Amino acid sequence: MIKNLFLVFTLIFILKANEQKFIARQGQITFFSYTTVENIEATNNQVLSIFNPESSEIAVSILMRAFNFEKALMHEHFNESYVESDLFPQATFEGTIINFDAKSEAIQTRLVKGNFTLKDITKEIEFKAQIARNKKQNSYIITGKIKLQRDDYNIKVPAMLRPNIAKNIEVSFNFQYEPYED
Amino acid sequence: MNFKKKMVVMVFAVLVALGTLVYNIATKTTSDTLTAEVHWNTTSGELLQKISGNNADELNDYLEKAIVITGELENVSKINGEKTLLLKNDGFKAKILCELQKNQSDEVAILKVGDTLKIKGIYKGHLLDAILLNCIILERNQP
Repeated sequence: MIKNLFLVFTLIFILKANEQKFIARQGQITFFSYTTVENIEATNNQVLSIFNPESSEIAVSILMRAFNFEKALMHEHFNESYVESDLFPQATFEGTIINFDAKSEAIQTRLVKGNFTLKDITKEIEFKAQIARNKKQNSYIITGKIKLQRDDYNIKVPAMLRPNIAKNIEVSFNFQYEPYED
Repeated sequence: MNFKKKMVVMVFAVLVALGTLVYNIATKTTSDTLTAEVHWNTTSGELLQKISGNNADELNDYLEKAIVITGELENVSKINGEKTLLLKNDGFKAKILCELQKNQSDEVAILKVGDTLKIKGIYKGHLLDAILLNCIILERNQP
């Protein structure tokens, strides 16, 4: 629990204290596993993210148990065997949007670089994201897709189920940010 | 029917029964929260106090279990077709996010900000806010 609190603490305070921060309490992350045997999809609508447009920093925290699966057995396998939610309840991302212009109202497609941590394994990743600013509502929307390698994060799949789980997992995200008051 | 034929029929019947069992387990969808056993009956203030204080570890006892919470409705959000109730307590910055079961559309339609709700959902843990999924509305009291 101390570790969990540290992650949330980091999420908020890694970003400079005197700059306007934005929060998405209900960001969405969906992952897809496509194989010839079956397609698996799960969505988490309660992802937390903090964004600092001035410094271009972004931090994300994902509660692994909050993914919705179509079938109860998939949910059980995911939490108990693959991501071991009891031991590793959260996944996190901390990164920076490269060449982001905080004042532009145009939709910007930018590279995001940072560290993604799942099951205590941290890997540097980079991906493209679209950032849209709504000046009138003082809000931002960030969307994009990432591909993650199953084997990079020590996700152990029993031999019998290996054909059912893709090696490359496609992850899409959508965060709608509003101003965050400390 | 001789013994051999009886054995074939019995083995076949057992295989069909096993196949049905495996199929039912593999295709079972998420269970209905209404029938789940309640493990904690609390208020938004008590839950948020535990999250905000040093008692957050106590909440691990309720992970993946049904709890009932009474609290004030701050907002209803709709994301990806899923509706979520935000419950607040004025003493805390953290909220309670209750993602609703799909069969709750009729109940949501009549809700108003400020209503006091009693909801039941499956506790999943917390980040800044407490998170519950498969929530249902048990009671609604207008201010």
